[in-house]
Amino acid sequence: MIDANGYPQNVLVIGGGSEIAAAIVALLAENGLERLALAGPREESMAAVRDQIGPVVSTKLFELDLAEPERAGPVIDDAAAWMGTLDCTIVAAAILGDQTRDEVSPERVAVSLTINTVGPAAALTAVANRVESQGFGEIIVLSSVAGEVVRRRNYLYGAGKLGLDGFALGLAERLRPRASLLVVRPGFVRSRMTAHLDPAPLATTPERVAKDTLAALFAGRTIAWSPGILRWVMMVFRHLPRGLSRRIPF
Amino acid sequence: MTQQLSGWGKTPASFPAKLIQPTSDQEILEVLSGPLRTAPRGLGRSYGDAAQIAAGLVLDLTRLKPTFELDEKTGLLTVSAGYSLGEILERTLPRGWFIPVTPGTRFVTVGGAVASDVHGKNHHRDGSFSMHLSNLELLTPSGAMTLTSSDPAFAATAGGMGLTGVVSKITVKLLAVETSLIRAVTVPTRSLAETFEAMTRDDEYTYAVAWIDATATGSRLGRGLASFGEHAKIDELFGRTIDQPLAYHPKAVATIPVSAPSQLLNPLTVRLFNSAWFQAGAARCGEKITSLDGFFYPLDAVGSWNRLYGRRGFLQYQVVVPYGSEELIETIIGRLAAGGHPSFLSVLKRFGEQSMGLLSFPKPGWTLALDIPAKRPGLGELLRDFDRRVAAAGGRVYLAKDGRLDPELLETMYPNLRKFEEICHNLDPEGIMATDLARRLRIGGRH
Ligand SMILES: Cc1cc2nc3c(=O)[nH]c(=O)nc-3n(C[C@H](O)[C@H](O)[C@H](O)COP(=O)(O)OP(=O)(O)OC[C@H]3O[C@@H](n4cnc5c(N)ncnc54)[C@H](O)[C@@H]3O)c2cc1C
Repeated sequence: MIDANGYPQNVLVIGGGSEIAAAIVALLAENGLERLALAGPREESMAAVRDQIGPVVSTKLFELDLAEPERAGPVIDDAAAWMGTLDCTIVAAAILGDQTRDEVSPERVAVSLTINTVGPAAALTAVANRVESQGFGEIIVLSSVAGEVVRRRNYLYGAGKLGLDGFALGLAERLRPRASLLVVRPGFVRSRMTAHLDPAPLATTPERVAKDTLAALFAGRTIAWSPGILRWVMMVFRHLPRGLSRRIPF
Repeated sequence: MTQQLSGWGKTPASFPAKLIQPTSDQEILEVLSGPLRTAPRGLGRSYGDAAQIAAGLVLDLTRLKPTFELDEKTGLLTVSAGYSLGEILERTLPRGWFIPVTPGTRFVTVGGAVASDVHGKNHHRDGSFSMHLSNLELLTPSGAMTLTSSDPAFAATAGGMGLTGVVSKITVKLLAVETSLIRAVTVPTRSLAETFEAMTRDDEYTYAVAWIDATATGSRLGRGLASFGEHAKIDELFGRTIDQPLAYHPKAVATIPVSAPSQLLNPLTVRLFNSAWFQAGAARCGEKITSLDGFFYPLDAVGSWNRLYGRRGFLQYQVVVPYGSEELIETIIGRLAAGGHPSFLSVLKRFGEQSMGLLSFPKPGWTLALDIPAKRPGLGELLRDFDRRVAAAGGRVYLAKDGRLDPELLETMYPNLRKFEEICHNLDPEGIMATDLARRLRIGGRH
């Protein structure tokens, strides 16, 4: 169940190895989190999250590779059956890939968009159905500013997030007011996934994103930016003439 | 699609699969024989998730009103559970009978008053609501039964948060009064020590409660207005003669609209309100004759005042701690104020003996109730810490106000929990009776 302060007792993470999701879960663990289901393709990274959260939360790992989107439904059923209710679901699954390598490969493009858009959308649909029938629930979808304005340097990842972001916003309308769905748009997050890249301006951390996410969730918002200033930066950016914006290096 | 349900604090909220408003016992018994998890609901004045069940069936009992029988000689009232205390007063007070125990609002049903085993300003003398019942009728999945206070099922139902079944009718002994007015005395206090001190004189009065300015800090922490009262006798009206000493015409003076700005209550306005209230009260101290509503139900003058908190909602943190743990009261008030969680409305009083109710809240000691905006950063952690200290001190959190207690602490706070669950299981082997609160706190049943 969800308590009066918005804290869930049960959490499912799709993309269970995600560092941002782990940072969110760490905050929830201090506020009564009891059961954590981590679903993802790599057991080691999920086990690391489980160990980081510690034994106060009862954690179970579920194997799920969103490259096979049709597997999402059954895995979510299993996780929900184990937990009883799906109080809060965090959809964090994504691969960053390597833009220059992947952009010329039809196969890799297909895999990237499957994992970053099709799979999460399938998973979200299964979660949404459950939340509708159980009568309450919170859903957090990790999107990205990369999906706000798709850029040359990471258009494959950006296009994937753009699709997911749009899907999630539509789903939020479907679920309203039965359940709250929050789309989180972080900027450049320093994490394992981005360790090999030069940080973009306004870079942030998983912990900061986690804080901003919960603040927005509890305030009942549909979209969260992290850091918050990105909302205004992107608003300006979106309205620049394309000829100008494409030359701004970030 | 059914409507979203929550308690008075607006959080947590959930959607039932179905909501029905039965008007007869028969209808209720039929529902209870079905497979759906079922939660009784009165006027929704509990603050958290006690009167709702996500994806289940909610029985709104506010139309269950087949019986209203007052014996004018003895003051014994047999009344259906759907009547509100206000509706009862409107009929019995003009005949000289008052409800023996009343909470701070008249908008609660008889069923809700039993299920929460409510207390009033006279608890130190007269105990809780269930202690004034001669019997009650309970509808359970295994049938209807009439219970008296020596029955284990009665003890489970009094304070049992709707989990033993549906209370359909009670017989309660009313209190004889001469007027509908209250002789009230207000004493301002300048510190928590003074407030405690003033309240220990409560045995001179039937009614006693202290309002606390929970935004005052430092040496003023815990300052407030101790208020005491008695039902005024005819010859105590200070020479005023009154045509109808028992007249009672409650009315709301205002209602907060749905569209109220969401931040009307913020740390600044809460502090301003509390200071102003304290100053005004201190200026008007002394003895006076006041209306019954002004004394018992000041908040009822403003309809839907819970909307002032905006869409995040609010919660009430009410605890009781045994005598000797006064410093815990100070810690709670002080740390909430310091943490930027000012309480709009804060009340302190003493409890007397506890009732037979297995999950009944009141026990001897101090009770503190604080209204706090919910879902603010840091609040969850702070209250969890208080919970642990309260449990360790032998105190407890009031379930009728709760939406966030750590389930691990429940049995420490309510040592009769297992016995309660056993009785529930006997009355309801399939676990039909269920609420979001019970699921959250894992009380009995098939959660
Ligand atoms: C402004 C305000 C002041 C208050 N002051 C006090 C106070 O001074 N002292 C105090 O003790 N409480 C106080 N309360 C709390 C209130 O008295 C209790 O929560 C009471 O139970 C509310 O009654 P209700 O009819 O609204 O019940 P609901 O809130 O609808 O339900 C409360 C519980 O009762 C159960 N229930 C309701 N009807 C039945 C039934 N017929 N059979 C079985 N179970 C049933 C529900 O399942 C639920 O568990 C206050 C609340 C407010 C809003």
